[in-house]
Amino acid sequence: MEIRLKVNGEWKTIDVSSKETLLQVLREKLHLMGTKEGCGKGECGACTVILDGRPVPSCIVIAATIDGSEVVTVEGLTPNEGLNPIQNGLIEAGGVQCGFCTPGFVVSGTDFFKKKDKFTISELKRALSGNLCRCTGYKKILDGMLIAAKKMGKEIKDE
Amino acid sequence: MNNIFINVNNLNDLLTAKNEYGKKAKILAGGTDLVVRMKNKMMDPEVIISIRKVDELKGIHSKKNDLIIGSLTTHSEIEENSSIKKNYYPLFQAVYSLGSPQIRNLGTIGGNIGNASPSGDTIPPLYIMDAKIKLMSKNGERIVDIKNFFKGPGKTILKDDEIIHSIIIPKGRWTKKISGFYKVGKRNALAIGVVSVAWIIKEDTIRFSFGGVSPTISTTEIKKNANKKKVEKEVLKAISPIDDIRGSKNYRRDVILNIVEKIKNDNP
Ligand SMILES: Cc1cc2nc3c(=O)[nH]c(=O)nc-3n(C[C@H](O)[C@H](O)[C@H](O)COP(=O)(O)OP(=O)(O)OC[C@H]3O[C@@H](n4cnc5c(N)ncnc54)[C@H](O)[C@@H]3O)c2cc1C
Ligand code: FES
Ligand code: FES
Repeated sequence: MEIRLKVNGEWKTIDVSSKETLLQVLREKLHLMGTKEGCGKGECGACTVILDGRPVPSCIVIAATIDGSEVVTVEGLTPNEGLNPIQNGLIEAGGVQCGFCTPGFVVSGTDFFKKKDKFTISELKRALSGNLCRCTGYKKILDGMLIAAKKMGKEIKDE
Repeated sequence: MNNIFINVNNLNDLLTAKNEYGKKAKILAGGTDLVVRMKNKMMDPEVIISIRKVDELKGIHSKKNDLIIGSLTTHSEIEENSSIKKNYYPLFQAVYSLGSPQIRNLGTIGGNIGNASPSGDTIPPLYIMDAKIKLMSKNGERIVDIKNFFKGPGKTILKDDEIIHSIIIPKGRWTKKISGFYKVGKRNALAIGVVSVAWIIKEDTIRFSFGGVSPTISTTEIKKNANKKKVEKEVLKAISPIDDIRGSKNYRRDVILNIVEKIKNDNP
């Protein structure tokens, strides 16, 4: 069946088959390879995209059921030139090792800071809690997010 | 199987579709249960009716005597509602600790109930707050006590042409001071290794409901001044834990007894 999706600001008409997931459509039909498949069952966050304004695991969203929706992927959060503050922060802090989890963290982190000007560390940790990383031990990812927060003029509140 | 997907845009179309396809059709709300099951080849419905766009089933509404939560309201939306956090605290705590941010953004309360898992996190809080469920079909509607809705793991009284319309909670003030929700064991997609407890204090009595230790949710009432032996007797009457790969019967029983004891001690 045919569906229409607004992907990173542009409307696309896509022919999808039964059971095809949003993740498959993004990677295989639209060639947006930033979004990764880890567990494939909603547990790891590698496939996180913003669907109608909220981060969701695209591996368990069936494309045929979201006709007319708006999707933003990590590519849509990356400027044409250079990188966004979160991507830069993660690099600066050494928060990218194999990098497989990174797009998911960028999506979750961007969504968090878009909605919050002042935040506590535990709020930030909670917002990232659906993203798993097997390499960094999280400390450097958190550091990278905090570097980005500072650059974006965000304020850390006491717990 | 090549499933047939039907996207309905309003309640009337949903009821018409469910009436037409009946047993063959599964409703897909957030899909966090259904899609994972399909991917694991545990389920392959012939027809899937996606209800994402049915606005009539969304949102939290305060009526004179009741709080109404539309079945398609997501866990995130419930968590962000200030009145739920203040006055329906056990439900707030349940959705606050459910899955991950991404799962809470997609998963709905109607799906949590429709799934009828003995460890569905929203169910114990709804039990102790005496919630009712409004069911609807092309031929009418009925309101049932949540206690009568579940028949066993994965089984409900929903008829083939019926849908869950909303959850009705009688107005109350179940604040942080007098109520709560507690869960032990990490939850992932299909594991039901958790034990959960919701509780409310009513004068000299504490009401408990337990998840994950019986085929459906179980409830009991315990006097605050009851001794340990009496507590144990009451709790064991209410629950019927089983052994499985995620935990033994004895482990589940001991966890429940310890949580009950802790809640009792915290609220002298
Ligand atoms: C990684 C992961 C972690 C999870 N963690 C938890 C957890 O901690 N606690 C927990 O309780 N659950 C958890 N879940 C399970 C799931 O997210 C929840 O049960 C969620 O509430 C299901 O809602 P949904 O809208 O996604 O349901 P769906 O998958 O869309 O539907 C579930 C079932 O309900 C039926 N249904 C849905 N809506 C209706 C309706 N309006 N009328 C009639 N039938 C309906 C469907 O047909 C289906 O049988 C987790 C799942 C995943 C993948
Ligand atoms: S790949 Fe989607 S959550 Fe792991
Ligand atoms: S950097 Fe390798 S999984 Fe996170």
